[in-house]
Amino acid sequence: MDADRGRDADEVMDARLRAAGERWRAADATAPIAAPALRRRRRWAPLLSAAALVIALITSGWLVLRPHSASPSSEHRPRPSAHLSGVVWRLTGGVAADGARRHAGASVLFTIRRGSFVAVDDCTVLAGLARADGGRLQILDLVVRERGCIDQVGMGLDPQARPVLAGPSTYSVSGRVLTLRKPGSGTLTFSVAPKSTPAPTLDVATITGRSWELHRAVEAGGRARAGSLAARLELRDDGSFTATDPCVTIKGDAAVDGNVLRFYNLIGRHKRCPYGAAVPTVEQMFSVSAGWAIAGNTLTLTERGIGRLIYDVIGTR
Amino acid sequence: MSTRDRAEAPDQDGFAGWVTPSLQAMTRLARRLAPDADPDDVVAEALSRAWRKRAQFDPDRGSATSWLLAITADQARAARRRKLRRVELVDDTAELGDIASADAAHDLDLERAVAQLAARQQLAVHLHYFLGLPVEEAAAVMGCAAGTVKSTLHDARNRLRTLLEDDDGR
Repeated sequence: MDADRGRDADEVMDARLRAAGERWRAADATAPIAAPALRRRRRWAPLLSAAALVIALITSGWLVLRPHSASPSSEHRPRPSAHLSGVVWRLTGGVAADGARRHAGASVLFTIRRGSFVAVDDCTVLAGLARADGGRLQILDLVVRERGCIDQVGMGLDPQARPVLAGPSTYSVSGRVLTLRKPGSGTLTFSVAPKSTPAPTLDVATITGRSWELHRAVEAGGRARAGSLAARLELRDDGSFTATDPCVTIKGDAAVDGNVLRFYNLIGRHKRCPYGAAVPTVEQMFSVSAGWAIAGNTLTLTERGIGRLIYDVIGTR
Repeated sequence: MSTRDRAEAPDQDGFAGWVTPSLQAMTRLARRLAPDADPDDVVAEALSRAWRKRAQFDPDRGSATSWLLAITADQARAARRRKLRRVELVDDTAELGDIASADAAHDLDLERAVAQLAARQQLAVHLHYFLGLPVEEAAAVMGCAAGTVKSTLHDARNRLRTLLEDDDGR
């Protein structure tokens, strides 16, 4: 019985290795293999003339023979290369500027459609205008929006992938693999995501670039006091914000510092509000800083000793 | 094995044609055994060595490809020992690109486990599974009997199972 189980397990491992090997060779067949060149000329100086001849012959012979080696009978037929645009790319790994190899743990996706670039992962959304020409890619007017994640395992958009993605970088597509390279920043490798993968979109809840309306207010200690919930918040990509409730309008700048929003340059204008505002009030919340978290389409601002303001993206409730 | 493959190592004029059929396998083996080195460097070193030692090639002991792969394996090991770092980031992505697929995570686990095998086991696995050589060809490259390669592969699979089970259980 044990012997049978061991044999079965051995066959499973054998099949797994064969499959991995076939995938590796299939990917390798699509990658250009440079004709070898003798680099260490000092050591092989006496052979220089012969080596030059050998390399010339190898190069020409290799170019002639290469199409035959990729024939269906001997190798997997390479699939046609994907295009940079119109495809959802999933990050599979990369090499940092210092040569350290990184593997993507988070689901980092990007797409370019009609010149618009959008990239998402659990924590960040990047968007901009893509300029791809002659193997070079650059993202103009890059906007970075935070989604409010707790933590992200592995290589994410920000900070690891962002410098290369934003470009200017060079790109190459080989089969279903895209490689982006930016000297001094590193290299990223992507594969075509399965067709069922939703295309990255800006239409997700992010702390900036969205308009929010107050859904609930909870005082410190958990008590919810009656009051008008007619309150709105808008945080723009340039960092400016406007927060209103029936009693006040506050304008200023906000900076995202991890899971804390810090407020600066505040200007408030009080209004007549016979029915009062929910407590905590906007004036209380937007004074110094507040913790923030996004879950689905809900933004929660929390300040110790003051309470919570819970907003929804306008039009989603 | 082709007649030409079995023929004796040629002179200067015929050398390029003689090694060309083996170039892809040599490059692949270099990538497998010395992922941190430039495969073109490794193959170039191997070709230089093969050129110098071409008189030692014995067609009765194996094909030209297995002889060239054995030299490539030696050069790849030497390159690995030197810990040559690729200067250009461009070169460093080759292996990542190769495994980028829907099975990438599955294969990554396997790749990490293979990297923990003993050197002979790694060589056998690379030759047989990743280069796709039959056991007999792998044996010619490794300079041992086919039965030895089979038992080496068997031991490698056992070890891989243990390593991957450890990973799963972590």
